[in-house]
Amino acid sequence: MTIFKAIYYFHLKLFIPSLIVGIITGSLGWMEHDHFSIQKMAFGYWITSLLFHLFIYEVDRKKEYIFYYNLGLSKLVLWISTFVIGLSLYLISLLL
Amino acid sequence: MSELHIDSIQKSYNNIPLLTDIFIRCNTGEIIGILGRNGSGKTTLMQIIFGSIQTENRYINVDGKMILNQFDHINQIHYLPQFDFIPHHLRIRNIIKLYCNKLNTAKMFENPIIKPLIDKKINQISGGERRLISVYLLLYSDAKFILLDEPFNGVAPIQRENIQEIIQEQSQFKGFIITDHDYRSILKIATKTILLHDGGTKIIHSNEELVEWGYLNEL
Repeated sequence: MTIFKAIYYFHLKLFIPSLIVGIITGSLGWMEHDHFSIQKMAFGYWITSLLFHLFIYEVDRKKEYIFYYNLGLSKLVLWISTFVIGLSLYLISLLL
Repeated sequence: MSELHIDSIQKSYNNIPLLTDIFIRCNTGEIIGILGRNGSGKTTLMQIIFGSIQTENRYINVDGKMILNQFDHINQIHYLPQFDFIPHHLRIRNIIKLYCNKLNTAKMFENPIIKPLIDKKINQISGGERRLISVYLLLYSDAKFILLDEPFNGVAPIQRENIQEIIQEQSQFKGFIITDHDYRSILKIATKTILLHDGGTKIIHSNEELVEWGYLNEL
């Protein structure tokens, strides 16, 4: 349970900026299909969450990794979680 | 009783050996103080034990089980670095719940220093308060062994005494490995003192030996 909570806290920082970019990407659907595109939003979220992970945690706040290491989360696990959460949202959007 | 066994650590920078002959055994109930001059490799040693930096060779074992990656650290080894490592977007209340068991969470919530800050986010408190929160968090955290890198640095004298008391109280349940330049604080609480000298560990039996090994000019 602690591990899932820690992953949740890790992703809180990525969620809002990635969601904003995702909404902008989804809005591009107006140009092509005359309606908001959930698939584009989810795809935008997926890619930008990876980019924000890179810029926030690998460049700006690198030292925060220690906080998560103490809880048993390695850098690899955190990268995989970012990838899998974004991918899952994209796959769910394809089913809608 | 649990045992942390550290052996065969080797680390070089640019082909210059920094750590060559390391042997530390820490049991729960022990407070091991590591002293050494600047650049002797104290922080590097802590980071190697914790696994946050790679090395040519390392043998870290808790109760006979090798510690190979971060996942093996869960409830085994926690590390307090010298720098600010707590995410700024989290509330202190949530951080404490994440790191501590119920008993220690209650103790931290009742701590007169932490109590007024409990609902604040880390970015809403001062640098000094942040350091104190980090130290207290690790002291009460739910792990068998705690590595503390300069816990007394940047802390007011009265707080140092509080930290020393908590270390002694918590050492009933865990083992501590502490390094700090405040050698008096270390000598006051350590059950075993180790000097890092020429890349190796030397067990110090008396304060006079610190002068003999060139760590102190005089007592």
